[in-house]
Amino acid sequence: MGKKAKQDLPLHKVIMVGSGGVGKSALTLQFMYGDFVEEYDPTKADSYRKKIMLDNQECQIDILDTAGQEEYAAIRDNYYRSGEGFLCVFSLCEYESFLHTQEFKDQISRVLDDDKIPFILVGNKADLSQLRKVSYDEASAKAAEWDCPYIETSAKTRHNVDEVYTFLMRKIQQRKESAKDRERKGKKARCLLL
Amino acid sequence: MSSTRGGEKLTASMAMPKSKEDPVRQQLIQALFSDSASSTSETMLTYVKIFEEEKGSKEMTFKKGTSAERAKMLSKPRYLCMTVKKNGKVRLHKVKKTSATSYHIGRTWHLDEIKSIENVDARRWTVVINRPYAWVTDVPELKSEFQMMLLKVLRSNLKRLPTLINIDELALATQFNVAREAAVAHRSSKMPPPPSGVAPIPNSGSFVQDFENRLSIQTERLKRSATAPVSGTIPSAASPRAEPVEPRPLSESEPLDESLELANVYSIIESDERIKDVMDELDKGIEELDDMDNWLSLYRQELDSMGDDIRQIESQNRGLQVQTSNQASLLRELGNLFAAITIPESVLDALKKESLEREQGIKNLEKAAAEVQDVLLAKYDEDVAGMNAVRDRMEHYGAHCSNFASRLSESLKVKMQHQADTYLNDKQRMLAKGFVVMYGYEPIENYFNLYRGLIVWLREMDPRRYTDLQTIYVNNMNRLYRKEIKEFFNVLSTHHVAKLEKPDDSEFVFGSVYQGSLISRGGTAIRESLTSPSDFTGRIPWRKRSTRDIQDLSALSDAGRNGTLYESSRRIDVGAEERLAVDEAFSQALSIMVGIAAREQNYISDLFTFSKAMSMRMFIEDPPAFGDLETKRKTTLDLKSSKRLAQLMGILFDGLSVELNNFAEMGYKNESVQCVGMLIAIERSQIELADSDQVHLTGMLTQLHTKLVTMFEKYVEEQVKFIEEARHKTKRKGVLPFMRIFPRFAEKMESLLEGNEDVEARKLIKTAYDRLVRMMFESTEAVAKETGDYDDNEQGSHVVNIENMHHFYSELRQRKITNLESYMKYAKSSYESHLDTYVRGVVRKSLVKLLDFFDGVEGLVKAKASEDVGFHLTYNKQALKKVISSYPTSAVRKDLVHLYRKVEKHFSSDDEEGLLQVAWRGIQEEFIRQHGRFTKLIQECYPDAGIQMEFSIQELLSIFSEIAKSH
Repeated sequence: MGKKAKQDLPLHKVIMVGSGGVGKSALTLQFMYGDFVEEYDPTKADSYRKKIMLDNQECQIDILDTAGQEEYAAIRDNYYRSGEGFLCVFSLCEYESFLHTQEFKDQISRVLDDDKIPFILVGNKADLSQLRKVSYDEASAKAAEWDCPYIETSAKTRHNVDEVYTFLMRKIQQRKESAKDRERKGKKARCLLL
Repeated sequence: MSSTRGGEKLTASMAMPKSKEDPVRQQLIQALFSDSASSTSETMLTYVKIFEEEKGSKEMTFKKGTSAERAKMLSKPRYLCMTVKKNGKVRLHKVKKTSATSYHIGRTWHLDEIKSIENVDARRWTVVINRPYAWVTDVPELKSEFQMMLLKVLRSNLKRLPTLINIDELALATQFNVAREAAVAHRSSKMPPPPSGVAPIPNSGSFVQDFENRLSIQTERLKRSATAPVSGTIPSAASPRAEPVEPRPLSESEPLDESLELANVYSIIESDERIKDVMDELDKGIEELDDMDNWLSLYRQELDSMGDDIRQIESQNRGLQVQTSNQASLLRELGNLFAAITIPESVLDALKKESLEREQGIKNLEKAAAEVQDVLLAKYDEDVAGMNAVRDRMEHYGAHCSNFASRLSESLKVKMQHQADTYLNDKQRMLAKGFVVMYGYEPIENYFNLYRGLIVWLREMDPRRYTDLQTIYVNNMNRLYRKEIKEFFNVLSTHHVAKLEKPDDSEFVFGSVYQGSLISRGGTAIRESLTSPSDFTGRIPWRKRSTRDIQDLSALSDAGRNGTLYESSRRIDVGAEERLAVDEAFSQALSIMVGIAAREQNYISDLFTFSKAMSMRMFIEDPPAFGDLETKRKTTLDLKSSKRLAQLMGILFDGLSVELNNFAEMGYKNESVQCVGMLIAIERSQIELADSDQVHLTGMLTQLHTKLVTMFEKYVEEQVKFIEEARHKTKRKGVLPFMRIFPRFAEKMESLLEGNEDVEARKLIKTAYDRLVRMMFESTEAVAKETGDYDDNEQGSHVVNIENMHHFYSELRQRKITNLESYMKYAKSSYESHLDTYVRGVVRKSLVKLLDFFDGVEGLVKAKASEDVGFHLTYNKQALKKVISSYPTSAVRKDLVHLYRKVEKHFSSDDEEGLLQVAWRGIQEEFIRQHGRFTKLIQECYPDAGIQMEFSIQELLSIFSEIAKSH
């Protein structure tokens, strides 16, 4: 019966990555519950699930919000494997966190061995414009280099929050559909062979 | 004696002044002693004119001089006045004449100031007071008289007389008495004969006139008799006998001593024989006067009796006048009364025959009825009301009145029946699928409005028929309402209510096997919140009534009122195939029904003018406004009227209560959770009706509310039981069914309550939350415990808690149900602590030997110095080597792969599969942490042993990566 529910509702698994304190949890909570948590409480790992309408189709999103400051990156390998799409978050006010995105990107590519995995570079804390350390141009140049979208958000003002998740889920959805198509084609082809 | 004195007084005063009227005396009194009002006022006793000589010495030198010489010396004419005060004090004043008539008091002396009195010669005398005064009097007699008086006064007032020189007291007295007697004798001889026969009463017509005549005659006589002696004495004054002493008027001598007077009188009587004659004459005079007195008293008596007669006659006269005017006004009153209680035949005729079918006829009847009512209900006092004529009239009119009352109520009864029949057979009002409507009865309302005045009349004149008429009205309207309400609910529940195929198996029933997403119940399964009823009342669509079998109505109304007939329609807005959730359908239906019933009550209240009793006349002159029927009214009726109104409403809408109850039951049976929405709908209507006069509706809603509360409680009771039972039934994996259901249930409750925070249902639901959540936590614990027992799988028990608590927390957090905050907190901390315990437990299982060993080492480190550890048998280098060697990298790898599979199996729930990553991550970290701890303890306690863990941290991390890649 559980399977039935699963069949009914497509599930998209999103993983939040990025350095500590860049606002991964804030973005997730804003998206999930519509509120902004001011105090900083480092996350180990947390799992969220929510039912949403994506392009008039009901589906579920599963977000794994992870810690940003593990001592050993290898710990992340396992959950990277479970991800279908990634939001790689850095803080616009902290240049180092922007530099770190490279590390996360590399690890994801390595672990998944998949360049096409839906991946969005997210510059958070856009509301703190006077503290900004990373320019839009620099960040979008990086994204272009990685061949992925770049979006600036503010978990505090909810600016672009829904958009960034929706955008990512849409990409996951498209990827799944094209994979299905391929599969079908593959089957067809096999049938033809038979 | 007294009469003698009276006579004497009279004559003395008349005869006193020799110098005719004595103007000087008058002037003196006028000028100086007339102010009798003042307390210091004095009465002048007598006076004497004197000329004062300048100096005692001079007087002595000139006292032998000629009169011419003397005249020169007498430079100062003065008046010496003797006065008596009210208190009896006698004083002397020396008065100076300042002009022709005005005088001025120069000096005033008390009697005791007089030291001596000395007669110098016949006219001249000296008085020593504080100094000697030498006075000359023109007439010697006057001097003597004055001295006489002065002496008398002195004697009666002073203990010691002043020194008298050359004054012969006795001679003075004699002289004085002779003079007086002479005057008296003279006067009596001149007295006219007493009136022996009073003038005969003239035979005049008026008594008063007669009396007046007599009175005037009498006074005339008296005047004559009084003046006669005065004129008579004048010549006698010339006679030598009567000259020297004049009888002093009694008024002046009153302050004098009585004994002196008596002595005086006796001496007079003794000194003169003629007194006797005078006395005789006086006696005669007295007799005459007594006669006159008798006459006068006779007249008085007569006058008194005549006066009485006159008064009697006058009062009789007045009485007669009053009676006449009373009779006149009685006549007038009776005339008015009869005019008032007479009703023209035409009016009575109208009552009998005028048509009740036409508006003009009704107007005429109202007028006629008003007239009869005015007469019948006018207040007559008992006497008037008791008059036969009046009674007869009243009976006569009463009969007319009751005939008309009967005709009126019969006619209205027939009309009411007819209207109800007509509407009952009205095919246009039939309902159908997609057409759930309650039509209004405005045409009927307007029709009977015409009779409102006559109903007011009936209320006053025939209360029983009036009450009957109310009953007839509601009975007939009840036939309509019952049928149409029944039809309404029938169509609604047959075609437009979403029902579960399998009753009470939904996402809100904790015992149901249903685990999928929301059940689709038809077109509009569940709306986010119920449409507020106020949305409907604002816009009641009106439809035009086609002219058909109610032409008689139009004919009536065309006369003046609205013209075309419309009737309202209140509709549940559904498509032909649309189905509403039970609570939504109930809410809309309730809103419509409450609107209709409230309106109907307002109409009845107005039609039968419940608000106040009034006469037909009052109604015609100032018809009470027809209130807005759609607006709820405040309670204004008295208790009795409001009870009656509620009773009528009860009859009228007996069907409504039945239908609503049935509908609620039907809805509850199909899907019990619907009772909450219905309950809230009722509470909303109750709030709307609060403070209104809708007693019946309020009562009905209260009953329904109680019923639904009971239903809700039963529902919660059942759910609690389901949750309790679930612990034995469900598979012990993943999220428990009730955990899945509860957030949706809470969400539904919250959405129903949204905007209705003040409703009572909020309290009920809060209580329900408490009961359900507690039971859910209890059951979760129970399931977890059983899981643990089942295959001795301690971790499994934690997994149940981790998954369910995480689910509970995150689902409710998403729905922002603040009322459940405390339970959410509990769930979150429960999740965290179970996760922690789970991770530690799992790791311990893998590294049990290492953990036991290093825990022991650590214990020693804490207790003693770390270098001692190596000497401990259990923890020496050999033991360390042994335990480390049992965890070679290959074994660890194998174990971790195995562990991952196990954890994966634990967290295989669809709903919470994300937790696998969370848990695995925790396990990885725990491994790393323990590895670090072991390494540190080895360095610390076995520094020189050169022993290391068999597997390095790098190897551990690469195992993790391998595991990650392997799936």
